[in-house]
Amino acid sequence: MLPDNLLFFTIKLLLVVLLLIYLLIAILIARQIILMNKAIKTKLSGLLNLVGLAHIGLVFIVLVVVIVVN
Amino acid sequence: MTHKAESLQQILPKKRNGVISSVVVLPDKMEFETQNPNEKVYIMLRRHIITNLGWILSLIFFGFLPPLISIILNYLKIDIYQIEEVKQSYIMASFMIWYLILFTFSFMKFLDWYFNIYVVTNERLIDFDFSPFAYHKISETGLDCIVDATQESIGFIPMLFNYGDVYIQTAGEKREFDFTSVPRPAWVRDKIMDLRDMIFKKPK
Repeated sequence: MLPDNLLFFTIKLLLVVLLLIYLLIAILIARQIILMNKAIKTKLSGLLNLVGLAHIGLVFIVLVVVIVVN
Repeated sequence: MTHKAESLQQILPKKRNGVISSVVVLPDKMEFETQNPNEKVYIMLRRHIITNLGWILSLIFFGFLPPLISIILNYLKIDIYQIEEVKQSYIMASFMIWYLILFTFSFMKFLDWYFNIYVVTNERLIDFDFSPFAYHKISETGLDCIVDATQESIGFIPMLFNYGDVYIQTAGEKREFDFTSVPRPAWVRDKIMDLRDMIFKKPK
């Protein structure tokens, strides 16, 4: 069995890797939103661009929290 | 017997401008990338808003799941903070990740609905298909290529909320245009045919 510290380190590492992939997905979503807003401009275009960026920020915050917490 | 083609005022008498509406008539602030200088958007359609009910219900369920589990654990008098291996910070991180996943899921579902748009202009029909990560497709056909249109509502929920599919047969390379789950399919079919007749002065 893994010692406690090693177990927590492994879980943390796994979460960080997953969140890094998640961050990439969030960037892709934001990029897709910008592309679609270029293709169709509606009343919500500006807000959706902002939410796409806020989503990246949110993932980044969670990533930092996971790295920082012990 | 032939009739004179109706005017735009007769076909679309009222403007409908909702921010997240499924049917927008004569939108004020709507432009698209390939819009021609004199091209005007007459109707913009999305799937009926009720088609989002499934993911909204699952969002509510999964949103309330962590507090529900907490209540059940309290009821069973299990205090997870007393378990030595479980750190409070990890529980907090798990909560954050859980709600982050829920937010991403709902945001993607919303985008999927919001960006699947059917546009009727004074020149053509355009179908914007968008699915995050999967595809991004735009197809169009000229109004003059429309041969005929058929509507279809199958099932209890579509009948109840008055939505369904409109199939538009065209003479172009893409033989059929499908407007899926649009509200008031009879109205949509009728207006498309009326607009075609008005623009190309075909007798009714």
